[in-house]
This record gives sequence, structure tokens and C-alpha cells, in this order.
Amino acid sequence: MNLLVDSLVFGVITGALVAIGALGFTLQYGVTNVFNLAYGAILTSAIYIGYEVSKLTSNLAVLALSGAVWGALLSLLLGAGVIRPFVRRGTTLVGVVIVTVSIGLIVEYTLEAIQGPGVLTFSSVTGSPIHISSATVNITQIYQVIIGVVLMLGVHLILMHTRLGLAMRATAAEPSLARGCGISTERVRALSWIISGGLCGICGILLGEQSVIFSSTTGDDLFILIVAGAIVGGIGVPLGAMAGGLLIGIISEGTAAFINPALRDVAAAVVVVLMLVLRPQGIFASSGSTKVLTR
Amino acid sequence: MSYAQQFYLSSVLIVACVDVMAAWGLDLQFGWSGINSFGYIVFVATGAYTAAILSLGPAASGLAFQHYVGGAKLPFPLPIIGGTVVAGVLAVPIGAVTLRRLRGDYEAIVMLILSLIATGAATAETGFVNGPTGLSLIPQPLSTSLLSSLSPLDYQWTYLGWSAFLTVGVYLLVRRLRKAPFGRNLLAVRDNPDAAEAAGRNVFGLRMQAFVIGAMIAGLSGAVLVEFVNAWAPASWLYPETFALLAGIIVGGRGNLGGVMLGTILVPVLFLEATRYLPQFGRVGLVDSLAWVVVGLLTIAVIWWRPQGLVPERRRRFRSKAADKFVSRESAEPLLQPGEDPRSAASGRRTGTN
Repeated sequence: MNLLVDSLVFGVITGALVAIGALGFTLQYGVTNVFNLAYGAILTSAIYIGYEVSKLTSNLAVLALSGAVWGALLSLLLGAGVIRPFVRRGTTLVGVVIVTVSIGLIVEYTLEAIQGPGVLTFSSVTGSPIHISSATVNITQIYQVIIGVVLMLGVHLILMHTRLGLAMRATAAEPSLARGCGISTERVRALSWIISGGLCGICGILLGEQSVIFSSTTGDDLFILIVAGAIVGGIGVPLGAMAGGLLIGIISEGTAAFINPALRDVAAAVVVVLMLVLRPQGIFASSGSTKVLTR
Repeated sequence: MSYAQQFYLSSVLIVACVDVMAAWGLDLQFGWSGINSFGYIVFVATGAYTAAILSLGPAASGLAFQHYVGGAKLPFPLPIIGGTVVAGVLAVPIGAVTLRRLRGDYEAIVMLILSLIATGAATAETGFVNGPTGLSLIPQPLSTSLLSSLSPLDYQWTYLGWSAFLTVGVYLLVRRLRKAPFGRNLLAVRDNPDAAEAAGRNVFGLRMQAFVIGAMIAGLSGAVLVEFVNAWAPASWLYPETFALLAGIIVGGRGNLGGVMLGTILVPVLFLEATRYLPQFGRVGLVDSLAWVVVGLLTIAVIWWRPQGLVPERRRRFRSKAADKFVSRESAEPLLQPGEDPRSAASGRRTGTN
């Protein structure tokens, strides 16, 4: 029973982390239609930025902000500087995916070249432990859940109740029609890269706080969970990303607790493959409302 | 040449043979059939593990230093054949799941994730293929039989001859397939699956056949490699290894056997393997990391400036005077650009164009 409570509590905590990442991923993918495999590398680079900033201050808000700014800049550079020219040239979907893989490898190996192999330790602020039933958590983990919920609601409100959100949804659904209605789809796409990168940066900082030690491939493991969360929730659906992230968090922590800790990410990966094969539109999608994922 | 130089040269050449074989197998899937096989290295690993287990002897129980499932001590060529066959068999369920209905980029993602699942599972299950430590002390097949009297260096050259022999065999096979109706059907399926289907071709079946043959070539290359390096662990087949082969294919020229060989010798062999033996500068592993950065930049540069690769695919055309009146005889259309993936066009969606 304790094991069940533990895995639920930690599932929610991991789920919040996954949900933040999945939110950014799903937003950018929905609007630009580019499957960004460099997302995990941007996430990792944010941990390194957080590591450098944490030498100056241990304030979580400052750390998260620095991560968000870094992630947004890098993501904008990637999206508007590299991906957009390729898309304008008419490079195929798969060609663009290969470009993002290349960028991811460049970022990861640049980090490794700068820092050297091996792991770094993140001096995290843990504070006094807090007990939830049988599970023992720290204050950062509580903040993580709160940040997750706030970001989720924020993005949902932006998307559903502002003109920018309307423009984003229009661009996601039908770019040429959106342009015909006077929406600057280029600017909307650039903004979606920025927002997605910011969320990715915050996610990276929180991951750094969580995992304490990290290396140039730390983001990759979380990236599998993020893709899983985004796909389970349905691409381009922010509330879906929250639900998907939560579900993936609970599944992976449950697997870690009951089966084998080493299979934590494998469980999520199995879920992705099953989802893509059985219900690629996500669990919440109504017909015709989301991306066409099959041919 | 000094002894060490000869040893180094022969090792790099053996690795080159293995990589070229694997790249041709991947090109059969990625280049000719349009299968986005981002998990290709799993088949190489399957071949390697199978060949290792089939030559290590029956698994010892209890306190043995490595644990694995099954195990036999088969004579020389059988472990390699076993590795080839098992990789092909594994391709059937994976192909059945991924090849049927997924859009191009999703196919790539599923394959990539399957690769991550496989690495994760092989690492986690310590009883299956000895977990993260992997298998080691795999017997060298040739040295146990009639060649046991050879010096280590002569053994290297002999093994190089054997790998080169297999590489030539794979070359003849893929060239034959390319010229056969099978190869032309694959190109048709890649370029316009809907038209191919309308012309009565079994698109799924053809893609599946190409996938299985490619996987078998991968298994063969893995088996040849493992019997040379004598050890195999999850760290040998992380997902960037697929990308190294893929980068070689893109740089060299997708769909062109000679181009793929050139690209493979450039990218995975010269940049990633040979640099390991360069005089190291800076900190440990710096050269390795920088080599990967260069490979990434090179791939992006090639997709931008020369998407058809250094040696582009040659298109075979039917020469008919009647048709020549209507069809302009331009060179082959590059695969990564321009225009769009026929499948994305078929589904009515494209990357956000402006």
C-alpha cells in the first residue's frame, strides 16, 4: 500500500515535470508542424545554464527565469534561424527531422566538449522534508507541481482567450487560410518557438533540481517521457499535455516502484508506440480536430 | 609501416567494411524504400548479440561472470548466419507495427523510440544479455579453427580479407536487387506510394521485404563486427550510431551504392572511428565530442547545399521517343528537397510553407 501511495505521489511530481515539457513541445509542434528532436538537447543546455547561475544564487524563481530566457533564445534561434529556412526551401518532413536531430547532437556534444565527460552536481535547495502519507518529498518538488499547474493554466488561457491564442490555433489548423485572414503566421510561429523554448528551459531547471547529478545526455531520458506525454494527450492540446504528462509520470513511477527502476523510461516508450499505432490522435481528440498523423 | 601502424590500419579497414555493409542495408530501407529507419542500429545489435551468444557456448548458471539466455558453441560461419537470420526475424514484427500506416516523421519517431526501448531493456534486464556490462570474451571464430597458428597481425589481415569478401557479397546482392524489378518497384513505392498501389503493387509487402533484407544485412554487419571486437554492450549501439550511418548516407548520396560507400568512409569511419586514434589534445574525449559536432554541422550543410548528396542517385529512365516529347529530361529529383514528401501530400498536410 505504501508503495502505491509513494508511486502516486512521485508520479504526480514527475508528471508535473513531464507536463511542463510536453506543454512546450505540443504547442510548438502543433503550430509549426516540426517534430523537434532537439528539444531534449535544449532542455539539457538549460540545466547547464542553471548550474552556472546557481553558483550566484539559489533562488528558484531566478533560476527558472534564467532557464526560461535561455531556452526561449535558443529555441528561437533554432526555429527561426535554422528550421524556417529549410521549411521555406521545401525540405521534406523527414529532412527537417534529420536537421533537428543534427542540431540536438551538436548542442549535446558541444556541452560535452565544454564540460568534459562525467557528471556535474547541482546544488539544489531541498529544505526540510515534507511528509505526504508515507511519501517523503521536498519543497522543490511541491513548487514543481505548483509551477506546472500555473503554467498549464496560463498557456490554456492564452490559447483560448487571447487574440494571440486565436492566431496560434488558426495557424496550427490551416496556415494558408490564417495568412489569408491577415495573421502573420511567421510571427506566430516565432512566438510559438519562444514560448516552447521558455517552457523547455523551466522544465530543464526543475529537472536539474530533481536529478542533482547531470550530464550532457540527462535531458534525453526526460525527452522520451515528454514525447510520450504530448502524444498521449494529443498534439496541440495543452490540457491534453497536462493529462498525458500526469499519466506518463504515474505510469513510469509505478513501473519503477513495482517492476524494475531501470525500466522507468522504457514503460513510457512502450506507451508512445502503442498510442501511435492504436490511437495516434491522442486520448482526448475528437475526430477532425487535431493533426493527421497517419497517412 | 611499423607493427602498430599496420595493426591500426587493418582495424580501421575492418570497421570500414562493417560500416559500409551496414550503410548499404540502411540505404536499402531509407534510400530506396523511403522507410525512415531511425532504429536501424537495433538490427546491428541483434546480429551482434546473436553471433556472440552462439559462439560463447551454453550459458553457465550461478556465479558465472556473465549471464545470457540460451547459448551454444557453433562452428565458424554458423554464428554469423544465426545473427543475420535473427535480425531479419526481428524486423517482421517491428515492420508490421510501423510500416503500415504511420506518416513519415511518425515512422521515424516510432523507430527511434523502439531503439531507445531496446537499449533500455537490454540495460535493465541483467539476465538477458548481461545488462549494462554487456558480453565479452567472445571467441574469435577464425582463430579457433585452422588459422590458430597465425600471429595476431596476420590474423587481423585475414579477418580483413573475410570482411572484405562479405562486403563484396553484400554489394553484389544489393546491386542485383537494385537492377531487378524488385528494386524498381521499391523506387516507385518510395516516390509515389499511391500511384504504385494503383498500379497493383503491394506497397506494404514491398516495404516489408526491403525492411527485412536491410535488417538482415545489418545483422550480418553486427555479427562480423562482434567477432572482431570480441565484446558488445548497450553502449555500443546507442541511437546516435544509427545517425552516424544516416549522416554518411545523406552526405554520400542517398540511393547510390558508390555514394553511400563514399559517405560512409567519410562520416562514420574517418570522422568518428579514425579520430579516436588521433593524437588527443585538450581533455579526454574532447576530440570525440568535436567529431560529433562536425558530423552534425556537415549533415545540416549537405541537406542545405546538396540535398541529393555528393554522388546523387542515378535515375533509370525508359527511353521512348513518344514519351520524350512530353517529358523533359531533367536530372533526378533530390529526395530531401524540393517539393514535399509524397506521403505528406497524400495526407493533405505539409510542413508549414510560406
